Amino acid sequence: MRPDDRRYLKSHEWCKIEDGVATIGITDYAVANLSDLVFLDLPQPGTSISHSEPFGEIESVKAVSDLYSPVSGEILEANQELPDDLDTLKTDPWAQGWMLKVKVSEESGDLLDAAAYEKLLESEG
Amino acid sequence: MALDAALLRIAGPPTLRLYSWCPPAVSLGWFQRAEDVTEVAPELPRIRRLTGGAAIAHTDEWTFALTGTTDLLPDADLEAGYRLLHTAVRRALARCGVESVLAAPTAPAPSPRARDGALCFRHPVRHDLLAPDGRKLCGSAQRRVGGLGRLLHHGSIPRTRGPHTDPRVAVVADQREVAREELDAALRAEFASVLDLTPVDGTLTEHERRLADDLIAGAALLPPHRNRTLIP
Repeated sequence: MRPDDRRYLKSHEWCKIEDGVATIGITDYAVANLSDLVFLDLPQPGTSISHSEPFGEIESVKAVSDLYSPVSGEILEANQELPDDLDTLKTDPWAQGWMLKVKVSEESGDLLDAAAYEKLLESEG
Repeated sequence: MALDAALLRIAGPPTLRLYSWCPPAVSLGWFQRAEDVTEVAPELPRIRRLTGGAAIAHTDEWTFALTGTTDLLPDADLEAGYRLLHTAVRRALARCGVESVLAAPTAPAPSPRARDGALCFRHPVRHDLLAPDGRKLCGSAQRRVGGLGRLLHHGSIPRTRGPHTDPRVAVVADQREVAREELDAALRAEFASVLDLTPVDGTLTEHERRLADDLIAGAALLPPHRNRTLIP
């Protein structure tokens, strides 16, 4: 069971909202599916992002994939260490593998709780 | 390759494009920096492709682009998808009398640092398609958008050896001279077979062509974080 203190997008990003600030990352399923990660591009603090729109890109040995935002708002912080240590996404996608902290102005209407996300993964096989 | 990007954006039916290059060019992986690949066929123009991976010198080759939803592939797993699509290419080559094998699942992946400045064909990884002598015979890379919802799979199969062909690259003519139309037909049949689709010949729509032009004009094919000196 994935953590139930956060919510998920079908595109396999998670967000944990506390005091109006969302911490955003990608799930262990996304990391395992992408396999060998080689590059991560994250936006700079101060920029605005929109929910359900791409905020960055991640490359594995075999594919480039867009990263989608669960919320709209202004980026307060980006995990600057993460692009240089992508193994963190494998070892701790839920905490140290966070990508962005965003001051939330609006949440996506498509956020799933942990149980619904588990069901989605079951349907994806 | 702008047309491939347009086909990826337009949620149309699964599409296999087969094409060749005039003039030849070097395509860079989405995240590659031009200054890291100066040693790859330096006299050829550079373009940016939407898919990942390392540089490819496109000279006399078969290029293919498969676009569609990821549920085209029976298994959502990225590596399983590669295995399936490369099986189609392997069977197509076999129809033309060209032998190839899938790299063993244990083949090592390159380190992130090795990618910089590298030619795609120098680094066979698991499920890549190799000639019997172990050299890579098909370069490939993917782009996924909409979460893992839509995919673009690029493939490059060198046909003959020319002045820009790296000696570490296998070419089809190492084994047999194959007419372009012969492998085109075989690829069409084998992709349809592994994807369980009935192929129908088609032409690009005006919408697809216009979107490709718009993507180029709007520089939408340039990665936002890298140098912008390349044209798509």
